[in-house]
Amino acid sequence: MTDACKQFDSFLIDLAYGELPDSHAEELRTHAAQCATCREALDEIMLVRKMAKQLPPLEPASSLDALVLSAAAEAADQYAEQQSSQPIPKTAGPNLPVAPIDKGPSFQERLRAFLLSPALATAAVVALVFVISFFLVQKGPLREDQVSKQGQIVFDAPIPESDRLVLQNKDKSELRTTPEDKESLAKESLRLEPSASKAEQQPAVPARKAPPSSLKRGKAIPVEPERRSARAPGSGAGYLGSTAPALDTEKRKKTASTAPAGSAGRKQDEKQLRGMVDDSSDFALAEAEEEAVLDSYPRAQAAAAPTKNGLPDTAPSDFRMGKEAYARGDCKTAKTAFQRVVAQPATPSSQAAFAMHHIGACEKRQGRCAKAVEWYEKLLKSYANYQHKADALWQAAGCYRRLGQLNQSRALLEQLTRISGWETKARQELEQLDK
Amino acid sequence: VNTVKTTDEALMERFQNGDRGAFEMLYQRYKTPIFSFLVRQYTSKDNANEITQEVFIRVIRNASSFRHGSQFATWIFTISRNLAIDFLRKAKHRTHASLDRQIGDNGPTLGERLPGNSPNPEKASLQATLQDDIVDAVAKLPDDQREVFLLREYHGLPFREIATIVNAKEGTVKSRMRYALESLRNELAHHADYARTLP
Repeated sequence: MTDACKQFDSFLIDLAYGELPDSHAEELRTHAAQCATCREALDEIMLVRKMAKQLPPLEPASSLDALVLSAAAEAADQYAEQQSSQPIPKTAGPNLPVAPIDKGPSFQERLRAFLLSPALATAAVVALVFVISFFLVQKGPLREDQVSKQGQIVFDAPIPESDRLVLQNKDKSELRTTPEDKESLAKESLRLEPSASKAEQQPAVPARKAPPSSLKRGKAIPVEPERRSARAPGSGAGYLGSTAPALDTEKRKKTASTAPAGSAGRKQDEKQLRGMVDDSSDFALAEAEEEAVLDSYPRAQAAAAPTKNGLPDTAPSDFRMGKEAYARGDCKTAKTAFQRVVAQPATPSSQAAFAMHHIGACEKRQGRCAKAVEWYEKLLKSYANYQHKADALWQAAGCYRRLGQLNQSRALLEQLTRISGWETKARQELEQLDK
Repeated sequence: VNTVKTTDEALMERFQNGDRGAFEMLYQRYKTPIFSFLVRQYTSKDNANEITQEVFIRVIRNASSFRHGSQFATWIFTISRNLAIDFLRKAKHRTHASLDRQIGDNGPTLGERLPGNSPNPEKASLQATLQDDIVDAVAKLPDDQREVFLLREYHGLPFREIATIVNAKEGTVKSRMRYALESLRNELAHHADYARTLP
């Protein structure tokens, strides 16, 4: 390839779409006239463009016209009103001298005037007096004040050693001022009866939490009853936060032991807890099946992975870490671990394929169907004989459908119709897509 | 007779001054390109109708913020793209299955594909097959390539404007275009002889 050909190639697209200045385009065309390879490359693009022009345009529904145009008419009337209500038209007269606009004092002038104003000086003095008096008051004996009647602990200066000793000798109940506090203490003493004497020996003040370093001095923290999760199990729908996966794992274990596999209740829980709403119950069922498939990979097989050059290979431990993270719903950690497995050169193909399957599942679980599809496609392309190929196809088809890429979804489902055990399911889904 | 086409930007300025006819002209110019782009790139016809309506409502509402230094086409396609992406994102989390489900084929109907007054039925059949295959081939393109291809080939936007719309570098846009053209060439190779006879 000559330099002229390289030059031609780098501007080929611009030339084909007429985005070059005439002189440059002419120069390239002259080269194409002499070079068969470059001419052919240009001709091929022009031929594709010719074919592409046969793609017919699509018309929107005619009902749209009335809706849009009526809204436009209304807006146009408003714009016209605004125009007519302007007191001085923009074109007031021909070549009239434009009067300079009086912008008033500059920003610096206004700032200076503000800083020197008596009102600001007075305010500053008052604020200073207030701050000083506040600190003076705080220096006084505040031990009783530290526990307010409203049940608030006021974190303040460190407790003097003498006070600390007095407090240690006091009964713990005296420190709890509200009836609720006393009641909870009584319950505690009942519950912890055998070690009650030990509890008494504990310094009373440290029993209450020390202020976190992030808190400012003097800041009041309300004492609340023990915080309970207000959210009922299964109400994590719509959350992709940290609580959802934890609930997900817990609930899944529970339902697996109590409910029959594939029951409607389990599917609903799966959906809700995952925080993702599936658009097809069939695909939701398949997700549960997929997890069963993924869980079936034996640990021993992962642990028995070979090492490279006698050095310890991290892939087996990464695989285990990934599986554990996946099981507890920590998709981020799982993905990182599985990606390391895939990246290891010594990873056996079956394990790498499984890792890819997991990564796809994680992405899907996190609602990132486009990413999930990439992994499933990579898996299917790299490992044609993968033992759970059918499941990967099914998952990828589901993702494509969610993404609105129905042709890709169809293509995968058609492949599935040729895999025994999946024909009916795939055909049913194809029918759904064609409706 | 003045045959010079009024620019989109000039029409927009007239609309800002209260000329509803100017907006109607803009609407007639852009309703089909926007709808086609949405259907081919993102979603079903039903959803595309909904999004197209929203696009024009946004244009009407935000007409006063349109700056005359910018291209109207770039502006409206950016609005369309953003709305479509938002729509799909929301639809993914809806429980209602039918919202992002394809209703019917994205391609043309048989009536649209077969020209009624064609003197040569064999040619008409070839054209219909070519149209079918183009619809499929374009649908098979990766999203980013298809987007660039549609905007350049069917909506005539320059690569620089497309780069603004898709928020990528101009060089990246051209690479995507090149890959798209190569894929289409391979997919449609068997139509090459017929395509050479096309005007």
